[in-house]
Amino acid sequence: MNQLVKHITKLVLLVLMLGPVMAQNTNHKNITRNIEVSRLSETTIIDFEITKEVSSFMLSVSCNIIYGEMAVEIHAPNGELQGNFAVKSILSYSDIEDKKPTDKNYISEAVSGQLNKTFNAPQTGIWEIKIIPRQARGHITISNDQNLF
Amino acid sequence: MHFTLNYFKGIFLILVLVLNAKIFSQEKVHAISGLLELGPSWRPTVYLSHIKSFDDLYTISNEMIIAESKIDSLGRFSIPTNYLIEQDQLYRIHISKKSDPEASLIIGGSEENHIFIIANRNSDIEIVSLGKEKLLNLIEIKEHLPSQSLLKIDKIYHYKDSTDYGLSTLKKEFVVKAINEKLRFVADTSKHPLVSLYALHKSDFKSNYSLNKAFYTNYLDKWSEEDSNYFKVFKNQLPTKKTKNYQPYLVGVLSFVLGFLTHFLVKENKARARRRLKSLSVQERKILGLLQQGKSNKEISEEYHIEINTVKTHIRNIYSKLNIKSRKEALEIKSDNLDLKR
Repeated sequence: MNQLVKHITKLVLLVLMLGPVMAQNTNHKNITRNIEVSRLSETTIIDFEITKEVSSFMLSVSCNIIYGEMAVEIHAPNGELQGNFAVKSILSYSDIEDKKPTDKNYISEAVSGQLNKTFNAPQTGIWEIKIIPRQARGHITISNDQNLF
Repeated sequence: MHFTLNYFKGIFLILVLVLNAKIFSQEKVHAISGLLELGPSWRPTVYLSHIKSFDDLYTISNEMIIAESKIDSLGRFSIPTNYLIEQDQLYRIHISKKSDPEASLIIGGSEENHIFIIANRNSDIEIVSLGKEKLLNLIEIKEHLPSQSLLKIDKIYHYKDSTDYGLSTLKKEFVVKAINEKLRFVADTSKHPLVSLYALHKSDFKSNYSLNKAFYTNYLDKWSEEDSNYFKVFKNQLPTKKTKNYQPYLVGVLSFVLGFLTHFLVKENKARARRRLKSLSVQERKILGLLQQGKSNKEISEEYHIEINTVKTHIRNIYSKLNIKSRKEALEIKSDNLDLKR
């Protein structure tokens, strides 16, 4: 009998503890994407939908390049620019094609940019992240953290 | 004794001269300095980048970095400004994380790593963090009004993202609109061209231009003498450039065309009248002459010894050929134009 009471108590405590965590999970949506950009990559548009259920979302776009240039733009569903940045390396492909990735100059000339923005009461519809590389090599990480009603 | 006195006088004079030369040769060192206490994840270096246009506010490159300063163990740094150009320019100060490249820009969030300042070669700017391990997004600028204004503009701008709009997108629209209006007001009232343009850039001017053209026309007029690259780029960014006033040319051309047409019509009317008159017979012209003298049908018949009915027939023919309907109209035909004497 004592064992049974112990088990029931543990079960109740577990439910009580997990409840809020699970509730949080259902009100939260996180999407992360990694994109590799090489010298010949062209403009890419990453889109995501914001529905009526989203009360706010946090967008984080980080970009790191070794050579070339890259611009990042965030557009709301109505086409308005909501944020942008650009990273430019002083190195071009020809400067480093025959160098090893561990070369000191190769690393020290890298450039990075990061845009973190919270959108409260966001416009519903398709949001776009436009990635515009110009003879660039690098990578981009996009993290979209949505809070649902 | 006299020689010794002169000797000391000479030495004293030389000392005074050397001291003066030293004092005057010491040029005042202007600098962007400050106090930052960063956490262990940050590189102890402050970088200064030159921002050549407002399009490059959020562009980062090693090429843009023009100076750097180590942050010492007490958190102090200093970047001399003596080599900067004489005119005020826009600069960005940033720090970078040890895990990121030196040229790294973090926009927004708690780790925002940069601020903008306005400086020239005589600027003295002091940047002080507002607490321990506070980044550049929590600082205070001392004794430099233009850079302080940029910080204030940033604070206004950040209300857009930090305001809690709840469920209301309408509230958001109102708040964003109000903030943009406030930024335009700052742009309109600021006496410093770069501060003014910075505020305008933060106010989403591209989408506002078509709704508020008069504001931008007045704005450009106000700063018409500003020829810095910042203003050149801004002018090119406006959806439509200031349209040329073609009105005077248009009025000129229209006046010429109207004058020509009037002259042509008057000339044509006279020619037509002459053609009509030529279509009259000699007798009809004589009768028209008498009509213009105000003579009655009876008087005309007596003068030319013709029947009154013949006079009436002539008059009908005259009316028909001259396209008139009454004696009154016949009176209006000028005898010289009609060449009645011919």
